[in-house]
Amino acid sequence: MFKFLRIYSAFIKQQIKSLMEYKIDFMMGMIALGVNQISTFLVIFAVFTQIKAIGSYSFNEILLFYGYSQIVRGIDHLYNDNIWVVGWNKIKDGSFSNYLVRPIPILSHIVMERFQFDGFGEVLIGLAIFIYAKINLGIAFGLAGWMVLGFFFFCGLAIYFSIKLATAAIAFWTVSSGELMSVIYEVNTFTKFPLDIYKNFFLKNFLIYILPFAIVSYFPIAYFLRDQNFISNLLGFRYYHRELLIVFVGFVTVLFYCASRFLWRMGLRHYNATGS
Amino acid sequence: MIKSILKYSGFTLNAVKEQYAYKFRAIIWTFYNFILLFVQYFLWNAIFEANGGALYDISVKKYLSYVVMGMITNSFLHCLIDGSIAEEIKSGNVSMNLIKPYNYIYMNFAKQIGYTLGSVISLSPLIIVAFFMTGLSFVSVQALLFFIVSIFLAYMIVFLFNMFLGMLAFWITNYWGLRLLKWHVFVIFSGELMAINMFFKIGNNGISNFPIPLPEAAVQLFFKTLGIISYCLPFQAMNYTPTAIYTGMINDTRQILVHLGVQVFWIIFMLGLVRLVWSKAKNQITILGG
Repeated sequence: MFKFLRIYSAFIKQQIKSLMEYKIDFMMGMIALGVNQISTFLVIFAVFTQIKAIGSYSFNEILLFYGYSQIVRGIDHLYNDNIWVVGWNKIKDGSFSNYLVRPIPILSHIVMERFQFDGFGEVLIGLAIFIYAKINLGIAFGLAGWMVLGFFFFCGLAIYFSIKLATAAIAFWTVSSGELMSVIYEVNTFTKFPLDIYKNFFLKNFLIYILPFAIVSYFPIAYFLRDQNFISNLLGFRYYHRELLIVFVGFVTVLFYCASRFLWRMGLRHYNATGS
Repeated sequence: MIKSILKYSGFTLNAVKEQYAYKFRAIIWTFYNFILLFVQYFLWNAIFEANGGALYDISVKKYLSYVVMGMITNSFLHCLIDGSIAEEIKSGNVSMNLIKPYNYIYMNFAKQIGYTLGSVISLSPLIIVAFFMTGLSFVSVQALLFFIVSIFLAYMIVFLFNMFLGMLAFWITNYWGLRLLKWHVFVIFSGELMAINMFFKIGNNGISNFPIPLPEAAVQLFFKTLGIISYCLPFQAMNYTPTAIYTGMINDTRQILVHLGVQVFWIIFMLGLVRLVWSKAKNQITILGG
Protein backbone atom coordinates (compact mmCIF):
# COMPACT_ATOMS: atom_id res chain seq x y z
CA MET A 1 0.00 0.00 0.00
CA PHE A 2 2.78 2.39 0.98
CA LYS A 3 4.68 1.51 -2.16
CA PHE A 4 1.55 2.19 -4.19
CA LEU A 5 1.19 5.72 -2.75
CA ARG A 6 4.87 6.49 -3.29
CA ILE A 7 4.70 5.53 -6.94
CA TYR A 8 1.43 7.39 -7.42
CA SER A 9 2.86 10.63 -6.03
CA ALA A 10 5.90 10.28 -8.28
CA PHE A 11 3.61 9.97 -11.31
CA ILE A 12 1.58 13.00 -10.24
CA LYS A 13 4.70 15.13 -9.85
CA GLN A 14 5.74 14.35 -13.42
CA GLN A 15 2.31 15.28 -14.64
CA ILE A 16 2.29 18.68 -12.99
CA LYS A 17 5.66 19.38 -14.57
CA SER A 18 4.41 18.55 -18.05
CA LEU A 19 1.27 20.66 -17.62
CA MET A 20 3.30 23.65 -16.51
CA GLU A 21 5.34 23.43 -19.70
CA TYR A 22 2.70 25.41 -21.60
CA LYS A 23 1.43 27.89 -19.04
CA ILE A 24 -0.88 30.06 -21.17
CA ASP A 25 -2.45 27.01 -22.72
CA PHE A 26 -2.96 25.45 -19.30
CA MET A 27 -4.62 28.61 -17.98
CA MET A 28 -6.97 28.77 -20.95
CA GLY A 29 -7.85 25.13 -20.46
CA MET A 30 -8.73 25.73 -16.83
CA ILE A 31 -10.91 28.72 -17.73
CA ALA A 32 -12.61 26.62 -20.41
CA LEU A 33 -13.45 23.88 -17.93
CA GLY A 34 -14.93 26.50 -15.61
CA VAL A 35 -17.09 27.85 -18.43
CA ASN A 36 -18.23 24.32 -19.18
CA GLN A 37 -19.30 23.86 -15.57
CA ILE A 38 -21.39 27.01 -15.72
CA SER A 39 -23.30 26.19 -18.89
CA THR A 40 -25.64 23.45 -17.63
CA PHE A 41 -26.23 25.44 -14.49
CA LEU A 42 -27.18 28.39 -16.69
CA VAL A 43 -29.95 26.37 -18.34
CA ILE A 44 -31.37 25.35 -14.96
CA PHE A 45 -31.12 28.95 -13.77
CA ALA A 46 -32.81 30.39 -16.87
CA VAL A 47 -35.60 27.84 -16.94
CA PHE A 48 -36.52 28.28 -13.31
CA THR A 49 -37.02 31.99 -13.71
CA GLN A 50 -40.24 30.97 -15.44
CA ILE A 51 -41.42 27.63 -14.12
CA LYS A 52 -41.91 26.14 -10.68
CA ALA A 53 -40.92 22.56 -11.37
CA ILE A 54 -39.74 20.21 -14.09
CA GLY A 55 -41.71 16.99 -13.86
CA SER A 56 -42.23 16.56 -10.14
CA TYR A 57 -38.92 18.18 -9.23
CA SER A 58 -38.43 21.59 -7.68
CA PHE A 59 -35.42 23.80 -8.33
CA ASN A 60 -33.50 22.57 -5.29
CA GLU A 61 -34.25 18.94 -6.03
CA ILE A 62 -32.96 19.32 -9.58
CA LEU A 63 -29.84 20.93 -8.15
CA LEU A 64 -29.35 18.08 -5.70
CA PHE A 65 -29.36 15.56 -8.58
CA TYR A 66 -27.11 17.71 -10.71
CA GLY A 67 -24.63 18.42 -7.91
CA TYR A 68 -24.35 14.79 -6.87
CA SER A 69 -23.90 13.55 -10.44
CA GLN A 70 -21.14 16.12 -10.98
CA ILE A 71 -19.27 14.96 -7.88
CA VAL A 72 -19.27 11.32 -8.97
CA ARG A 73 -18.32 12.25 -12.53
CA GLY A 74 -15.58 14.55 -11.27
CA ILE A 75 -13.95 11.99 -9.00
CA ASP A 76 -14.02 9.44 -11.79
CA HIS A 77 -12.55 12.04 -14.12
CA LEU A 78 -9.74 12.75 -11.62
CA TYR A 79 -8.35 9.31 -11.05
CA ASN A 80 -9.62 7.22 -13.94
CA ASP A 81 -8.80 9.12 -17.10
CA ASN A 82 -5.86 7.21 -18.46
CA ILE A 83 -8.12 4.38 -19.57
CA TRP A 84 -9.21 6.70 -22.39
CA VAL A 85 -5.68 6.70 -23.72
CA VAL A 86 -5.67 2.91 -23.62
CA GLY A 87 -8.88 2.82 -25.63
CA TRP A 88 -7.78 5.42 -28.16
CA ASN A 89 -4.08 4.88 -28.62
CA LYS A 90 -2.05 2.63 -26.35
CA ILE A 91 -2.87 -0.54 -28.19
CA LYS A 92 -2.71 1.05 -31.61
CA ASP A 93 0.81 2.43 -31.12
CA GLY A 94 2.03 -0.59 -29.18
CA SER A 95 2.88 1.29 -25.98
CA PHE A 96 0.50 -0.96 -24.07
CA SER A 97 3.35 -3.45 -23.87
CA ASN A 98 4.98 -1.12 -21.32
CA TYR A 99 2.38 -2.13 -18.76
CA LEU A 100 3.08 -5.79 -19.28
CA VAL A 101 6.76 -5.62 -18.38
CA ARG A 102 6.51 -3.41 -15.27
CA PRO A 103 6.42 -4.86 -11.74
CA ILE A 104 3.08 -3.23 -10.90
CA PRO A 105 -0.38 -4.71 -11.55
CA ILE A 106 -1.57 -3.51 -14.96
CA LEU A 107 -4.78 -1.80 -13.91
CA SER A 108 -3.22 0.10 -11.02
CA HIS A 109 -0.44 1.21 -13.31
CA ILE A 110 -2.98 2.54 -15.80
CA VAL A 111 -4.79 4.41 -13.05
CA MET A 112 -1.64 5.84 -11.51
CA GLU A 113 -0.07 7.02 -14.72
CA ARG A 114 -2.37 9.96 -15.14
CA PHE A 115 -4.10 12.23 -12.68
CA GLN A 116 -6.51 14.47 -14.54
CA PHE A 117 -6.70 17.84 -12.81
CA ASP A 118 -9.68 18.84 -14.96
CA GLY A 119 -11.91 16.90 -12.62
CA PHE A 120 -11.39 19.35 -9.75
CA GLY A 121 -13.77 21.84 -11.35
CA GLU A 122 -16.54 19.28 -11.51
CA VAL A 123 -15.98 18.13 -7.95
CA LEU A 124 -15.83 21.62 -6.45
CA ILE A 125 -18.85 23.00 -8.31
CA GLY A 126 -20.74 19.77 -7.71
CA LEU A 127 -20.02 19.95 -3.98
CA ALA A 128 -21.08 23.59 -3.78
CA ILE A 129 -24.37 22.93 -5.58
CA PHE A 130 -25.04 19.78 -3.59
CA ILE A 131 -24.50 21.49 -0.26
CA TYR A 132 -26.55 24.53 -1.28
CA ALA A 133 -29.46 22.37 -2.40
CA LYS A 134 -29.28 20.12 0.63
CA ILE A 135 -29.45 23.07 3.04
CA ASN A 136 -32.38 24.61 1.16
CA LEU A 137 -34.31 21.37 1.05
CA GLY A 138 -33.71 20.95 4.77
CA ILE A 139 -33.18 17.20 4.58
CA ALA A 140 -31.07 15.47 7.20
CA PHE A 141 -29.45 12.16 6.32
CA GLY A 142 -28.33 11.11 9.78
CA LEU A 143 -25.36 8.81 10.27
CA ALA A 144 -27.07 5.84 8.63
CA GLY A 145 -28.07 8.02 5.69
CA TRP A 146 -24.55 9.22 5.12
CA MET A 147 -23.30 5.66 5.21
CA VAL A 148 -25.87 4.65 2.63
CA LEU A 149 -24.90 7.61 0.49
CA GLY A 150 -21.26 6.61 0.87
CA PHE A 151 -22.12 3.13 -0.36
CA PHE A 152 -24.07 4.52 -3.32
CA PHE A 153 -21.17 6.80 -4.10
CA PHE A 154 -18.76 3.91 -4.14
CA CYS A 155 -21.11 1.93 -6.40
CA GLY A 156 -21.38 4.90 -8.76
CA LEU A 157 -17.62 5.08 -9.10
CA ALA A 158 -17.49 1.34 -9.69
CA ILE A 159 -20.09 1.59 -12.45
CA TYR A 160 -18.14 4.32 -14.21
CA PHE A 161 -14.97 2.28 -13.81
CA SER A 162 -16.58 -0.86 -15.20
CA ILE A 163 -18.17 0.81 -18.19
CA LYS A 164 -14.95 2.53 -19.17
CA LEU A 165 -12.91 -0.61 -18.62
CA ALA A 166 -15.24 -2.81 -20.65
CA THR A 167 -15.39 -0.41 -23.59
CA ALA A 168 -11.63 0.11 -23.53
CA ALA A 169 -11.14 -3.67 -23.50
CA ILE A 170 -12.87 -3.86 -26.89
CA ALA A 171 -9.70 -2.27 -28.25
CA PHE A 172 -7.84 -5.55 -27.66
CA TRP A 173 -9.80 -6.92 -30.59
CA THR A 174 -10.41 -3.79 -32.66
CA VAL A 175 -7.05 -2.05 -31.94
CA SER A 176 -8.78 1.22 -31.08
CA SER A 177 -12.12 1.73 -29.38
CA GLY A 178 -12.04 5.41 -28.45
CA GLU A 179 -15.12 6.25 -30.51
CA LEU A 180 -17.17 3.51 -28.94
CA MET A 181 -15.99 4.60 -25.49
CA SER A 182 -17.02 8.18 -26.18
CA VAL A 183 -20.48 7.19 -27.35
CA ILE A 184 -21.17 4.91 -24.41
CA TYR A 185 -19.71 7.34 -21.91
CA GLU A 186 -21.70 10.25 -23.35
CA VAL A 187 -24.90 8.46 -22.33
CA ASN A 188 -24.16 9.63 -18.79
CA THR A 189 -25.27 13.12 -19.85
CA PHE A 190 -28.79 11.85 -19.21
CA THR A 191 -28.00 11.46 -15.52
CA LYS A 192 -27.43 15.17 -14.96
CA PHE A 193 -31.19 15.45 -14.56
CA PRO A 194 -33.59 13.08 -12.81
CA LEU A 195 -34.43 10.30 -15.18
CA ASP A 196 -38.22 10.36 -15.04
CA ILE A 197 -38.51 13.91 -16.41
CA TYR A 198 -37.70 12.52 -19.85
CA LYS A 199 -40.92 10.48 -19.75
CA ASN A 200 -39.60 7.85 -22.07
CA PHE A 201 -40.19 4.21 -21.26
CA PHE A 202 -37.39 2.88 -23.44
CA LEU A 203 -34.81 5.36 -22.22
CA LYS A 204 -35.68 4.74 -18.59
CA ASN A 205 -35.27 0.99 -18.78
CA PHE A 206 -32.18 1.28 -20.93
CA LEU A 207 -30.49 3.40 -18.29
CA ILE A 208 -31.55 1.12 -15.43
CA TYR A 209 -31.05 -2.35 -16.85
CA ILE A 210 -28.76 -2.21 -19.87
CA LEU A 211 -26.31 0.62 -19.33
CA PRO A 212 -26.92 1.28 -15.65
CA PHE A 213 -26.01 4.94 -15.43
CA ALA A 214 -29.22 5.40 -13.41
CA ILE A 215 -27.46 3.56 -10.58
CA VAL A 216 -24.74 6.20 -10.54
CA SER A 217 -26.67 9.23 -9.44
CA TYR A 218 -30.39 8.87 -10.00
CA PHE A 219 -31.31 6.13 -7.54
CA PRO A 220 -29.05 7.40 -4.75
CA ILE A 221 -30.79 10.79 -4.69
CA ALA A 222 -34.26 9.42 -5.41
CA TYR A 223 -33.76 7.15 -2.38
CA PHE A 224 -33.55 10.19 -0.13
CA LEU A 225 -36.16 12.37 -1.85
CA ARG A 226 -38.93 9.93 -2.76
CA ASP A 227 -40.74 7.02 -1.12
CA GLN A 228 -40.60 3.39 -2.17
CA ASN A 229 -43.83 3.51 -4.18
CA PHE A 230 -42.23 6.00 -6.46
CA ILE A 231 -39.10 3.91 -6.91
CA SER A 232 -41.10 0.71 -7.35
CA ASN A 233 -42.85 2.32 -10.27
CA LEU A 234 -39.53 3.18 -11.83
CA LEU A 235 -38.01 -0.24 -11.41
CA GLY A 236 -41.10 -1.94 -12.76
CA PHE A 237 -41.41 -4.32 -9.80
CA ARG A 238 -42.74 -3.89 -6.30
CA TYR A 239 -40.61 -4.23 -3.22
CA TYR A 240 -41.60 -3.77 0.37
CA HIS A 241 -38.54 -2.61 2.25
CA ARG A 242 -37.00 0.70 1.32
CA GLU A 243 -33.55 -0.71 2.00
CA LEU A 244 -33.89 -3.28 -0.76
CA LEU A 245 -32.90 -0.57 -3.22
CA ILE A 246 -29.45 -0.60 -1.62
CA VAL A 247 -29.19 -4.33 -2.26
CA PHE A 248 -30.35 -3.83 -5.83
CA VAL A 249 -27.74 -1.13 -6.49
CA GLY A 250 -25.01 -3.23 -4.92
CA PHE A 251 -26.04 -6.30 -6.90
CA VAL A 252 -26.03 -4.53 -10.27
CA THR A 253 -22.68 -2.93 -9.46
CA VAL A 254 -21.02 -6.24 -8.58
CA LEU A 255 -22.50 -7.85 -11.69
CA PHE A 256 -21.19 -5.11 -13.92
CA TYR A 257 -17.80 -4.98 -12.28
CA CYS A 258 -17.25 -8.72 -12.62
CA ALA A 259 -18.43 -8.74 -16.23
CA SER A 260 -16.08 -5.94 -17.22
CA ARG A 261 -13.13 -7.49 -15.40
CA PHE A 262 -13.86 -10.74 -17.20
CA LEU A 263 -13.93 -8.95 -20.56
CA TRP A 264 -10.70 -7.16 -19.74
CA ARG A 265 -9.01 -10.45 -18.81
CA MET A 266 -10.19 -12.09 -22.03
CA GLY A 267 -8.85 -9.11 -23.94
CA LEU A 268 -5.47 -9.28 -22.25
CA ARG A 269 -5.15 -12.90 -23.21
CA HIS A 270 -6.03 -11.96 -26.77
CA TYR A 271 -3.57 -9.06 -26.88
CA ASN A 272 -0.95 -9.10 -29.56
CA ALA A 273 1.50 -6.23 -29.81
CA THR A 274 1.12 -4.31 -33.05
CA GLY A 275 4.20 -3.95 -35.19
CA SER A 276 6.76 -1.11 -35.17
CA MET B 1 -9.69 30.33 -62.26
CA ILE B 2 -10.53 26.85 -63.54
CA LYS B 3 -6.88 25.96 -63.38
CA SER B 4 -6.65 26.85 -59.71
CA ILE B 5 -9.86 25.01 -58.90
CA LEU B 6 -8.34 21.93 -60.51
CA LYS B 7 -5.17 22.47 -58.53
CA TYR B 8 -6.91 22.58 -55.17
CA SER B 9 -9.59 19.98 -55.90
CA GLY B 10 -7.04 17.27 -55.16
CA PHE B 11 -7.06 18.27 -51.50
CA THR B 12 -10.84 18.16 -51.45
CA LEU B 13 -10.91 14.69 -52.96
CA ASN B 14 -8.34 13.44 -50.49
CA ALA B 15 -10.31 14.79 -47.57
CA VAL B 16 -13.44 13.01 -48.82
CA LYS B 17 -11.52 9.76 -49.14
CA GLU B 18 -10.11 10.19 -45.66
CA GLN B 19 -13.64 10.26 -44.28
CA TYR B 20 -14.48 7.00 -45.97
CA ALA B 21 -11.35 5.24 -44.83
CA TYR B 22 -12.90 4.82 -41.39
CA LYS B 23 -16.45 3.70 -42.01
CA PHE B 24 -16.90 2.19 -38.59
CA ARG B 25 -15.86 5.47 -37.03
CA ALA B 26 -18.44 7.37 -39.08
CA ILE B 27 -21.21 5.03 -37.96
CA ILE B 28 -20.23 5.36 -34.31
CA TRP B 29 -20.20 9.15 -34.51
CA THR B 30 -23.71 9.04 -35.91
CA PHE B 31 -24.79 7.32 -32.71
CA TYR B 32 -22.95 9.92 -30.72
CA ASN B 33 -25.03 12.59 -32.41
CA PHE B 34 -28.20 10.66 -31.69
CA ILE B 35 -27.44 10.60 -27.99
CA LEU B 36 -26.83 14.34 -27.92
CA LEU B 37 -30.01 14.84 -29.90
CA PHE B 38 -32.13 12.74 -27.56
CA VAL B 39 -30.75 14.43 -24.44
CA GLN B 40 -31.62 17.86 -25.78
CA TYR B 41 -34.97 16.79 -27.18
CA PHE B 42 -36.28 15.11 -24.05
CA LEU B 43 -34.92 17.76 -21.73
CA TRP B 44 -36.53 20.69 -23.54
CA ASN B 45 -39.70 18.72 -24.04
CA ALA B 46 -39.92 18.22 -20.27
CA ILE B 47 -39.18 21.87 -19.58
CA PHE B 48 -41.81 23.18 -21.98
CA GLU B 49 -44.39 20.68 -20.79
CA ALA B 50 -43.81 21.81 -17.23
CA ASN B 51 -44.92 25.25 -18.36
CA GLY B 52 -47.98 24.03 -20.26
CA GLY B 53 -46.44 23.62 -23.71
CA ALA B 54 -45.06 27.11 -24.29
CA LEU B 55 -42.45 29.45 -22.84
CA TYR B 56 -43.15 33.13 -23.62
CA ASP B 57 -44.60 33.09 -27.11
CA ILE B 58 -42.49 30.14 -28.25
CA SER B 59 -44.39 26.88 -28.63
CA VAL B 60 -42.81 23.56 -27.72
CA LYS B 61 -42.98 22.42 -31.34
CA LYS B 62 -41.13 25.46 -32.58
CA TYR B 63 -38.46 25.23 -29.93
CA LEU B 64 -37.88 21.52 -30.42
CA SER B 65 -37.40 22.03 -34.13
CA TYR B 66 -34.97 24.82 -33.25
CA VAL B 67 -32.99 22.45 -31.01
CA VAL B 68 -32.93 19.66 -33.58
CA MET B 69 -32.18 21.95 -36.49
CA GLY B 70 -29.41 23.53 -34.44
CA MET B 71 -27.74 20.15 -34.09
CA ILE B 72 -27.96 19.49 -37.82
CA THR B 73 -26.54 22.92 -38.61
CA ASN B 74 -23.77 22.34 -36.13
CA SER B 75 -22.78 19.00 -37.60
CA PHE B 76 -22.87 20.41 -41.11
CA LEU B 77 -20.61 23.30 -40.09
CA HIS B 78 -18.28 21.06 -38.09
CA CYS B 79 -14.69 22.14 -38.73
CA LEU B 80 -11.51 20.39 -37.66
CA ILE B 81 -9.12 22.65 -39.54
CA ASP B 82 -7.94 24.39 -36.36
CA GLY B 83 -6.76 21.15 -34.80
CA SER B 84 -5.01 19.94 -37.93
CA ILE B 85 -3.19 23.26 -38.44
CA ALA B 86 -2.12 23.37 -34.81
CA GLU B 87 -0.94 19.78 -35.08
CA GLU B 88 1.08 20.58 -38.20
CA ILE B 89 2.68 23.52 -36.45
CA LYS B 90 3.54 21.55 -33.33
CA SER B 91 4.98 18.63 -35.25
CA GLY B 92 6.83 20.87 -37.69
CA ASN B 93 5.09 19.43 -40.76
CA VAL B 94 3.81 22.87 -41.66
CA SER B 95 7.23 23.58 -43.18
CA MET B 96 6.44 21.08 -45.94
CA ASN B 97 3.33 23.05 -46.82
CA LEU B 98 5.16 26.35 -46.79
CA ILE B 99 7.69 25.40 -49.44
CA LYS B 100 5.13 24.11 -51.91
CA PRO B 101 3.64 26.30 -54.63
CA TYR B 102 0.19 26.81 -53.25
CA ASN B 103 -1.64 29.11 -50.92
CA TYR B 104 -1.93 27.64 -47.44
CA ILE B 105 -5.31 29.24 -46.77
CA TYR B 106 -6.85 28.07 -50.05
CA MET B 107 -5.46 24.61 -49.49
CA ASN B 108 -7.13 24.37 -46.10
CA PHE B 109 -10.39 25.64 -47.52
CA ALA B 110 -10.29 22.95 -50.19
CA LYS B 111 -9.68 20.37 -47.47
CA GLN B 112 -12.54 21.68 -45.38
CA ILE B 113 -14.96 21.39 -48.32
CA GLY B 114 -13.85 17.80 -48.66
CA TYR B 115 -14.53 17.05 -44.99
CA THR B 116 -17.98 18.57 -45.29
CA LEU B 117 -18.83 16.59 -48.42
CA GLY B 118 -17.66 13.45 -46.69
CA SER B 119 -19.67 14.11 -43.57
CA VAL B 120 -22.93 14.84 -45.39
CA ILE B 121 -23.48 11.11 -45.81
CA SER B 122 -23.16 10.42 -42.10
CA LEU B 123 -25.41 13.40 -41.46
CA SER B 124 -28.35 11.90 -43.32
CA PRO B 125 -29.43 9.42 -40.58
CA LEU B 126 -29.54 12.35 -38.18
CA ILE B 127 -31.71 14.35 -40.57
CA ILE B 128 -34.08 11.41 -41.09
CA VAL B 129 -34.49 10.79 -37.35
CA ALA B 130 -34.90 14.51 -36.72
CA PHE B 131 -37.54 14.63 -39.43
CA PHE B 132 -39.61 11.95 -37.73
CA MET B 133 -39.22 13.58 -34.34
CA THR B 134 -40.21 17.12 -35.19
CA GLY B 135 -41.16 17.24 -38.86
CA LEU B 136 -38.44 19.87 -39.43
CA SER B 137 -41.02 22.08 -41.06
CA PHE B 138 -39.75 25.43 -42.32
CA VAL B 139 -41.83 28.53 -41.99
CA SER B 140 -41.96 29.74 -45.56
CA VAL B 141 -40.15 29.38 -48.87
CA GLN B 142 -38.67 32.81 -48.31
CA ALA B 143 -37.28 31.70 -44.94
CA LEU B 144 -35.81 28.62 -46.58
CA LEU B 145 -34.00 30.75 -49.15
CA PHE B 146 -32.67 33.08 -46.48
CA PHE B 147 -31.56 30.01 -44.53
CA ILE B 148 -29.54 28.71 -47.47
CA VAL B 149 -27.81 32.08 -47.85
CA SER B 150 -27.21 32.26 -44.11
CA ILE B 151 -25.73 28.81 -43.77
CA PHE B 152 -23.23 29.50 -46.54
CA LEU B 153 -22.18 32.70 -44.81
CA ALA B 154 -21.92 30.78 -41.54
CA TYR B 155 -19.74 28.19 -43.28
CA MET B 156 -17.28 30.90 -44.27
CA ILE B 157 -17.20 32.37 -40.77
CA VAL B 158 -16.64 28.98 -39.17
CA PHE B 159 -13.81 28.20 -41.56
CA LEU B 160 -12.05 31.54 -41.16
CA PHE B 161 -12.46 31.51 -37.41
CA ASN B 162 -10.95 28.04 -37.06
CA MET B 163 -8.17 28.97 -39.44
CA PHE B 164 -7.39 31.93 -37.19
CA LEU B 165 -7.40 29.83 -34.00
CA GLY B 166 -5.24 27.13 -35.54
CA MET B 167 -2.65 29.66 -36.63
CA LEU B 168 -2.42 31.03 -33.10
CA ALA B 169 -0.52 27.82 -32.38
CA PHE B 170 2.49 29.57 -33.94
CA TRP B 171 2.62 31.51 -30.68
CA ILE B 172 1.11 29.24 -28.04
CA THR B 173 2.47 25.93 -29.46
CA ASN B 174 0.19 23.64 -27.49
CA TYR B 175 -3.40 23.75 -28.74
CA TRP B 176 -5.31 22.10 -25.93
CA GLY B 177 -6.65 24.87 -23.71
CA LEU B 178 -7.66 27.18 -26.52
CA ARG B 179 -9.62 24.43 -28.24
CA LEU B 180 -11.47 23.60 -25.03
CA LEU B 181 -12.17 27.29 -24.54
CA LYS B 182 -13.56 27.55 -28.07
CA TRP B 183 -15.86 24.57 -27.54
CA HIS B 184 -17.28 25.65 -24.23
CA VAL B 185 -17.69 29.35 -25.02
CA PHE B 186 -19.32 28.34 -28.30
CA VAL B 187 -21.94 26.28 -26.46
CA ILE B 188 -23.13 29.24 -24.42
CA PHE B 189 -22.98 32.06 -26.96
CA SER B 190 -23.87 30.27 -30.20
CA GLY B 191 -27.43 29.42 -29.25
CA GLU B 192 -26.59 25.74 -28.78
CA LEU B 193 -27.31 25.84 -25.05
CA MET B 194 -30.47 27.84 -25.55
CA ALA B 195 -31.76 30.18 -28.23
CA ILE B 196 -30.25 33.65 -27.95
CA ASN B 197 -33.65 35.32 -28.05
CA MET B 198 -34.48 33.48 -24.81
CA PHE B 199 -31.80 35.55 -23.07
CA PHE B 200 -33.57 38.73 -24.14
CA LYS B 201 -37.01 37.37 -23.33
CA ILE B 202 -35.95 36.57 -19.77
CA GLY B 203 -34.27 39.97 -19.63
CA ASN B 204 -37.34 41.89 -20.79
CA ASN B 205 -40.28 39.95 -19.45
CA GLY B 206 -39.66 39.89 -15.74
CA ILE B 207 -39.51 36.86 -13.55
CA SER B 208 -42.13 34.70 -11.97
CA ASN B 209 -41.45 32.69 -8.82
CA PHE B 210 -37.67 32.61 -8.85
CA PRO B 211 -36.35 30.20 -6.21
CA ILE B 212 -33.21 32.14 -5.26
CA PRO B 213 -33.71 35.40 -3.32
CA LEU B 214 -32.08 37.73 -5.84
CA PRO B 215 -33.34 41.15 -6.94
CA GLU B 216 -35.38 40.77 -10.11
CA ALA B 217 -33.54 43.59 -11.85
CA ALA B 218 -30.18 41.92 -11.31
CA VAL B 219 -31.32 38.64 -12.85
CA GLN B 220 -32.87 40.48 -15.80
CA LEU B 221 -29.69 42.46 -16.32
CA PHE B 222 -27.63 39.28 -16.14
CA PHE B 223 -29.53 37.56 -18.94
CA LYS B 224 -29.71 40.71 -21.03
CA THR B 225 -25.93 41.01 -20.74
CA LEU B 226 -25.51 37.42 -21.88
CA GLY B 227 -27.62 38.24 -24.93
CA ILE B 228 -25.60 41.34 -25.73
CA ILE B 229 -22.30 39.48 -25.35
CA SER B 230 -23.62 36.87 -27.78
CA TYR B 231 -24.04 39.54 -30.41
CA CYS B 232 -20.54 40.88 -29.77
CA LEU B 233 -18.99 37.46 -30.41
CA PRO B 234 -18.93 35.66 -33.76
CA PHE B 235 -20.49 32.46 -32.40
CA GLN B 236 -24.13 33.43 -32.84
CA ALA B 237 -23.45 34.09 -36.54
CA MET B 238 -22.15 30.52 -36.84
CA ASN B 239 -25.16 28.70 -35.49
CA TYR B 240 -28.01 30.78 -34.13
CA THR B 241 -28.62 32.95 -37.20
CA PRO B 242 -29.21 30.18 -39.78
CA THR B 243 -31.11 27.95 -37.36
CA ALA B 244 -33.34 30.73 -36.10
CA ILE B 245 -34.13 31.88 -39.64
CA TYR B 246 -35.11 28.36 -40.66
CA THR B 247 -37.36 27.77 -37.68
CA GLY B 248 -38.90 31.21 -37.71
CA MET B 249 -37.42 32.44 -34.42
CA ILE B 250 -36.31 35.41 -36.48
CA ASN B 251 -39.20 35.99 -38.85
CA ASP B 252 -39.27 39.68 -39.63
CA THR B 253 -37.64 40.31 -43.04
CA ARG B 254 -35.86 43.41 -41.80
CA GLN B 255 -34.43 41.47 -38.84
CA ILE B 256 -33.31 38.66 -41.11
CA LEU B 257 -31.44 41.14 -43.29
CA VAL B 258 -29.77 42.68 -40.24
CA HIS B 259 -28.61 39.24 -39.12
CA LEU B 260 -27.27 38.44 -42.57
CA GLY B 261 -25.49 41.79 -42.52
CA VAL B 262 -23.83 40.86 -39.22
CA GLN B 263 -22.67 37.63 -40.80
CA VAL B 264 -21.14 39.48 -43.74
CA PHE B 265 -19.39 41.79 -41.29
CA TRP B 266 -17.85 38.82 -39.48
CA ILE B 267 -16.63 37.33 -42.75
CA ILE B 268 -14.83 40.55 -43.69
CA PHE B 269 -13.47 40.95 -40.17
CA MET B 270 -12.19 37.36 -40.00
CA LEU B 271 -10.72 37.57 -43.49
CA GLY B 272 -8.68 40.59 -42.43
CA LEU B 273 -7.66 38.89 -39.20
CA VAL B 274 -6.55 35.68 -40.92
CA ARG B 275 -4.47 37.60 -43.47
CA LEU B 276 -2.87 39.67 -40.73
CA VAL B 277 -2.05 36.71 -38.50
CA TRP B 278 -0.76 34.70 -41.45
CA SER B 279 1.62 37.43 -42.58
CA LYS B 280 2.88 37.93 -39.02
CA ALA B 281 3.25 34.20 -38.49
CA LYS B 282 5.27 33.73 -41.66
CA ASN B 283 7.81 36.28 -40.41
CA GLN B 284 8.31 34.85 -36.95
CA ILE B 285 7.93 31.17 -37.69
CA THR B 286 9.91 28.65 -35.66
CA ILE B 287 9.82 25.11 -36.94
CA LEU B 288 9.91 22.57 -34.16
CA GLY B 289 11.56 19.21 -34.49
CA GLY B 290 12.99 17.89 -37.70
